[in-house]
Amino acid sequence: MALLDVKGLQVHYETRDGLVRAVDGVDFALREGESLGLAGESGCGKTTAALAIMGLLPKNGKIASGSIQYAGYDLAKFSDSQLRGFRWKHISIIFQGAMNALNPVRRVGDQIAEPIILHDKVEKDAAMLRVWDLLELVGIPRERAREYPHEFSGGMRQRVMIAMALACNPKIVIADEPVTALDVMIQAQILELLERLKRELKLSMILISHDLSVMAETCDTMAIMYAGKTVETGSVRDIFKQPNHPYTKDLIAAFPDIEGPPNLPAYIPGLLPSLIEPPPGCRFHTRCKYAWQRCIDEEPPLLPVADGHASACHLNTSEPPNR
Amino acid sequence: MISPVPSPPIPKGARPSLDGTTTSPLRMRARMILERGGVFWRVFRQSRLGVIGLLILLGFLVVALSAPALAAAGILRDPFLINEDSQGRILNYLGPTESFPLGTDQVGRDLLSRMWFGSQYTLLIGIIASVISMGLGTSVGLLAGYAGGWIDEVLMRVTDFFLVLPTLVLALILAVTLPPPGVVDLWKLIFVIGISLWASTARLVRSQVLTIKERQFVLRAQAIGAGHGRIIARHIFPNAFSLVFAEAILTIAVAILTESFLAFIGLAPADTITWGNILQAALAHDALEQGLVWWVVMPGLLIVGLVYGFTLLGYALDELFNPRLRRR
Repeated sequence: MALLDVKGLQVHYETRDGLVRAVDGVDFALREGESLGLAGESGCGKTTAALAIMGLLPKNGKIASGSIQYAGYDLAKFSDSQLRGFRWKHISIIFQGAMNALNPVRRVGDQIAEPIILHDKVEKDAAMLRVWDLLELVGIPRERAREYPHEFSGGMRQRVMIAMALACNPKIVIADEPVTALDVMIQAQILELLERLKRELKLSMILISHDLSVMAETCDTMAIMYAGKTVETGSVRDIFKQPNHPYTKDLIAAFPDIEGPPNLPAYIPGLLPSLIEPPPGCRFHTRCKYAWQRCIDEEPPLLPVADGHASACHLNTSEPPNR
Repeated sequence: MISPVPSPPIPKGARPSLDGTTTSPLRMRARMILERGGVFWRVFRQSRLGVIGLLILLGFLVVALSAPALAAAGILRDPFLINEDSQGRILNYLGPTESFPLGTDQVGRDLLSRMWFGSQYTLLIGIIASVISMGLGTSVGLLAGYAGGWIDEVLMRVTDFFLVLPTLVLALILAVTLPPPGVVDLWKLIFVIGISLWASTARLVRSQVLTIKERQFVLRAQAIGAGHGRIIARHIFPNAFSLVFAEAILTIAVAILTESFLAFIGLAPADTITWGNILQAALAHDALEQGLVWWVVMPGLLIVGLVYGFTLLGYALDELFNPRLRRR
């Protein structure tokens, strides 16, 4: 039984140029104590999906259809006030880019204390006790609670964001590109910290990234997204060892191999299609080297290809015509 | 269904301390303020004009605060006292003499004492009017910028109305028309000046809020469950505060000028001593024709000096806080 089950999620943005189908049929499930990686190119709807789960979509965005099942509730149908009490206590988020997610004129400790004060209805002094524990949990000396964000390095700020996400003991933490702006050494430290916290606090985690190596290191299962759709889901092992969808294969091939021959990695020609007028049929057919007529006529459903491994490609259900 | 708590639950009424002993939070806070004040002072000190402005203002502050003590010590006279000589003749229209260093006015009151005490009223009116103006301007700016939409539209059109009317004309109209008509007491004067000056602050704050509210920490605050009021008060306003502070200092200067103007054309309450009032009396009673130069020159110099001090300090702070003027 999945802890969080997202089915057929569609999120639309109303813009001047038309309706943007940023997320257009996304399915994934997160089991308790598991870590799910949400991977895909920039602009494929990863962050939008995360914001939809949190109920934090901007004013012009709304959940058009689909369900987000969590512990018997459908979060997609929650009202604003229900969501406000729910967020952070059950699901919290580590925002993309810790540089901007901290208020520059407020003490770091006060900012971590804010959700505790708001949700647990305690005095600030009492909340600070917990803030210090949280800081030490993420490897920051408690004395630094009094400092301001500009006195912290990038990695430290990311740790602060993690401490803040844990402030109210959530079940699920969504980490949106948690290491993207950091250098590789710090990336490793932060990922290790997330791993440890997940283990010690029995958290379930959704990790959003475009970096497959990050996923390989930290996740149990993965969902690959393309142009607002889930194209393949499965365990990390399945996806890396037996990728099924042509997009997944290309994505993995585009990653430099440290043991392979010293040439430039492959890339996927073409651009991510417009999400205002997505191509008919399979979204990937414009860039897919296997595409044939059926891919333009018919949208492939996400079907199981092995135990716990699903893919949305016509190659799995029919033979391509001989060329 | 919530995962295990990584730390023991928070005991009710517990007080935190870093090293296990109890540090007084007051002392901790005081030390922090001193530290940050030291940093600010090091940066501020590099602005020579700002330091000059500050010194001028400190001088005026000493004058204002020392007035009652000097009067009690017999060095200053009662500014309302009508002075008479030993035969009971009123000593009015006197030039500078030994006992009246700046002379006396039309009813025989000591001008030096009046100007000395006048600094109190002038500072009081300037500062309170500026506070009113900042309060109104900041509230309107915060609300308009944060809410957006039709609220923003309505508030900004009202602001425009106040912005296009020249300040002095607006203050004049308000002073005459506000109930009770024809009577201008001290508080009405302060209110009128405050109301005339808030519009540009509202614009300034609104533009700041528009950029601040797009920053990610506002979304984060929303995510952790903070309501609109908390987001405005705890996250947006603190980011705009330094700018508002610099603006407040500059507005004190404008408020003092406005007060002097209103007093000069006779719209200040007669029972308050302001430099504008003294100047008005001097001109109404042909002080210059009688050769009573100091009666006219001194209040003018005092107004200019005080306004200059506030302006220098205000610009120095603005340069420090305003991101567009900062050169660090």
